[in-house]
Amino acid sequence: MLDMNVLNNLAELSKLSFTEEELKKLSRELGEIMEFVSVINNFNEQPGNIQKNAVVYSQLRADIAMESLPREQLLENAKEHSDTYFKVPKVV
Amino acid sequence: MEFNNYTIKELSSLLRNKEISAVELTEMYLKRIKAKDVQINSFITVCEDTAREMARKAQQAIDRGEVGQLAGIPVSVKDNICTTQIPTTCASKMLENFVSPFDATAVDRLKNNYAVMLGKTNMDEFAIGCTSQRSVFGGVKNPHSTDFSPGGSSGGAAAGVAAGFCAAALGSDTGGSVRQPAALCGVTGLRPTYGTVSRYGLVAFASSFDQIGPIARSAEDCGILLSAIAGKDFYDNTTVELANTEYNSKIGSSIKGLTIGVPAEFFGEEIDDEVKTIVMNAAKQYESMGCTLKEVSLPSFKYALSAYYLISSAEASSNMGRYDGIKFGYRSLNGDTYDELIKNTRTEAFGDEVKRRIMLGNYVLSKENYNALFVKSQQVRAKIKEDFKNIFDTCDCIITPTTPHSAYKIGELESTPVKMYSANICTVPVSVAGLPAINTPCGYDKNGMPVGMSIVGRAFDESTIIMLADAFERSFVRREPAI
Repeated sequence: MLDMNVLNNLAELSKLSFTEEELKKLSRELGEIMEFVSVINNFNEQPGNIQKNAVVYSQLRADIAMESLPREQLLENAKEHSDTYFKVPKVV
Repeated sequence: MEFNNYTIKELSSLLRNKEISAVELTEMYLKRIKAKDVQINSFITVCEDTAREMARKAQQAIDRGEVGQLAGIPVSVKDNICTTQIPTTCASKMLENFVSPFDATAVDRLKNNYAVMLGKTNMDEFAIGCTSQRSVFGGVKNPHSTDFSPGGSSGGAAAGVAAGFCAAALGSDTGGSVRQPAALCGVTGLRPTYGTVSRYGLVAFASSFDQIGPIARSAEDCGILLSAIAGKDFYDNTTVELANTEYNSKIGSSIKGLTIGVPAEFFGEEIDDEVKTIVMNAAKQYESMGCTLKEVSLPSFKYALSAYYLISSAEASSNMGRYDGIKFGYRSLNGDTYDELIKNTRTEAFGDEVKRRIMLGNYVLSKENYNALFVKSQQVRAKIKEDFKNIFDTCDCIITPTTPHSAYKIGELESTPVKMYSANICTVPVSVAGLPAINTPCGYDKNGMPVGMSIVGRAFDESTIIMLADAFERSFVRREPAI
């Protein structure tokens, strides 16, 4: 079981809302998952040459100025927009 | 005449010899999908008009005689791979009406090869899952018996190929999402080495694991598709400059003298006895073809699932952050403030499993847990890679079961998350190490459901595992589902 305060904080960080009932279920399920993955606590090897990211190869390319995708086309996927702007609820 | 059981190689020969046209072939597949997919639900979108147009263009190219083996071949694309003009939904309410303004690089390369895209296939929401039941468009059924799950998350892709709705498919594999459904549907599926295929236009789940991979009716067909889509891409800086992208170059070569590692951990008590027996029998067949079997060990195996679920959930929670309802995708009608709108949008449009992984990921990345869970998982990841490397010092490849069990009945795995996560026990270690693996069917269980084996290769050595899978397939009689 995961602590309810922790869960409420996580929900806020995740930008998700849950009912009391859903939170109880989630607390149980996440508790089970954490128990399931707790075997990792037994891993105590400290290989000296562990790289932080062992698998992903990444090579930066030259920064080339290119034409972007057409603005009108990108705005077609936005539910609300005004001229060339995305529309959001009033912020201030 | 029906061609739905033909391989790409066979269809390509028919097309070149003018025994059938690309348009006729496309019509045949479209007709079959229309008549039969109601039983399987493998497609989310069937793009008949686009497919016909692509077939006409393919035929013109074939007539000009300037094309390769994929010209005119009807294929499907998993619905988390972006396509212009046709929706890319990720089987989620969040992207139900999303149409990408660009093609994924893999799709672009298929188009350049004049393949014909029939439609977009069903899957678990955002590729998170292993049963293909977590789709807003309804679950997928296994063509070998519709009471069973096809596996997932590329369940629509694998079921569609098995049912003869397309000659081949593009799926995506994070922790096993190409290999596991391919195994449970009795077809061939390949996860390439991380960095082989561009992820540009593949909707991200866990970016350091995600790879697009082919599902087809043979290892050779997987090689044809992979050869078309692999290679460095300007738009994905994790792709690697590859010296050779002709993946079928070793097919037909002698496999005598190759050493195949059999890691004891993949044949432990979590694996069903019947599956173990079938896969071991297949391994022995390689022995009779002149290979040497060698018992090996992957000591870090026991940590693989934990490290995978912790890292992939952390990456997923970050990737899912982009869905705010403002720039694209679903937008809630409720929410007077910016914060409320985002919360309502995400709460209304994400399914339960996606929400669970976001919560888990944010838990893993929180200050209190970061070192104990996330950093430690990365160390485990490095160790798993090292353990595989040690095996490859003395072996040319590794053979394992692809799944711990044959297909589960629909609903059987979804009851608890932990039970579901364990279903990827055989595929996850390979994903964690970023290695290539191919699933090929190697037998059938007592219910007549397929069992698959995985051949795992050294990084960027897909041609060896394709050659080995092909050698086995030549004498294996695949059963076609009665659909």
